[in-house]
Amino acid sequence: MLEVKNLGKVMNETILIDDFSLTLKPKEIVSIVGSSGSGKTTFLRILNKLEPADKGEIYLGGKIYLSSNENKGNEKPNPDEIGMVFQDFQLFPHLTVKENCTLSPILNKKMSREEANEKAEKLLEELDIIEKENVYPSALSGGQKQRVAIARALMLNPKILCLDEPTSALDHETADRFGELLTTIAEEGIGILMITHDLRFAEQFSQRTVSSKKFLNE
Amino acid sequence: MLWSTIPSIIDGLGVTVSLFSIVLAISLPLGLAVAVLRVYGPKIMQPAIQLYIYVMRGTPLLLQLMFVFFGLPYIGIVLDRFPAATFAFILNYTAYFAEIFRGGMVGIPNGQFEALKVLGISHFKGYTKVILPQVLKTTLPSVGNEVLALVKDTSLVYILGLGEVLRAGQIAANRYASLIPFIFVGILYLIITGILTYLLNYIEKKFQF
Repeated sequence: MLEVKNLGKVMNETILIDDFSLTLKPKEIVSIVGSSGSGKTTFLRILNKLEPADKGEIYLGGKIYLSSNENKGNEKPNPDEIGMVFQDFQLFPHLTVKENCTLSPILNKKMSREEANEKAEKLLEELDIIEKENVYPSALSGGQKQRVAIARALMLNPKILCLDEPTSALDHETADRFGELLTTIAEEGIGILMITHDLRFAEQFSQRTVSSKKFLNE
Repeated sequence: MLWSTIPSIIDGLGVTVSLFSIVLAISLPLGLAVAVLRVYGPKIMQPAIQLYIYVMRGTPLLLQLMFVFFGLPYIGIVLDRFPAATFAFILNYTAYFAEIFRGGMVGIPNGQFEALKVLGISHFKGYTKVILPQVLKTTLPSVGNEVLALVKDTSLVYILGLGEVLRAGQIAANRYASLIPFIFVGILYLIITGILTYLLNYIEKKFQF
């Protein structure tokens, strides 16, 4: 479903990604592991159109999603194609958990307020955080914030969910529960791409683990 | 009798309160607009905005009042006392509010803008629904300080001969050779700032998140 072809990225005169290709199928969890500064986050940022690519193309469901040839660096992300969960979650602090989830679908007129509320409640229920629906993010733990961030991304029915260092704020036990949650999400047909330096977690919960050394074909 | 001066002091209070309200109602949104232009506006505008803020913050408000009321007539712009005072105050306070709001805007983490982007929320909607509420919350204490300063600064229009509360008190004190009008005026200021402090605390509590 997701096909990255010959992607290239140069940053501060350093080649970060060179001729990198990757595929991700529905229901598949793929982890990219590697040390800090190896370009993992940059790769996710390119995928979410937060950063332009210098080379290559990305296809989604056979259609071109991003092409470096037509790249002006100001393309709009497609949240109903690819969802993103940031390492520091970036929840909106002045909105409750439920409002964080419903903001985008309501503002973008993708759903009515009632539909959005209903969907948010269902997702929060599935992610086992419904009891916090009316709470502000400042009152949540790291693990809870993460589940809210996932619910927020899933509100728009993305085909792919990207996670940046999802276990960095979690202890072993919470990370394992989180891994099981990801497996459940993937089973619903979503492809999950995560970047992490937690090798144990990556090997336990993903079908494929790709080293970030592959960015440079090492 | 000393009591007979109270109506004139209360009249003065009317001038003080109307000057305060008009200046606040205009300079707050204007300050926000200037801050938006300062942070996100075109580069070509920046020197002019910076110069405006520098002049307004770098010279005494009293000088600015005198410039508008006594100075501008020399180049043919004649304003009445009250409009002159209001104009000078708006110019001055807009600059201060703009700097406060600018501080709040640059303090918003870049990640919040990126989160808006990956959620497909447009610049304008994201700004009004997500960024601005956070800016208002973080700047509220500083805005509150300026609001209280504005109440007390209104006494400066005394120099233009406007009959605000301090001037009325001074006249009464001179007429009866008494300290009491000054105490009365002081109490009036304390009542106004007391009410405003209560309101500001209330708003701050409402903005808790």
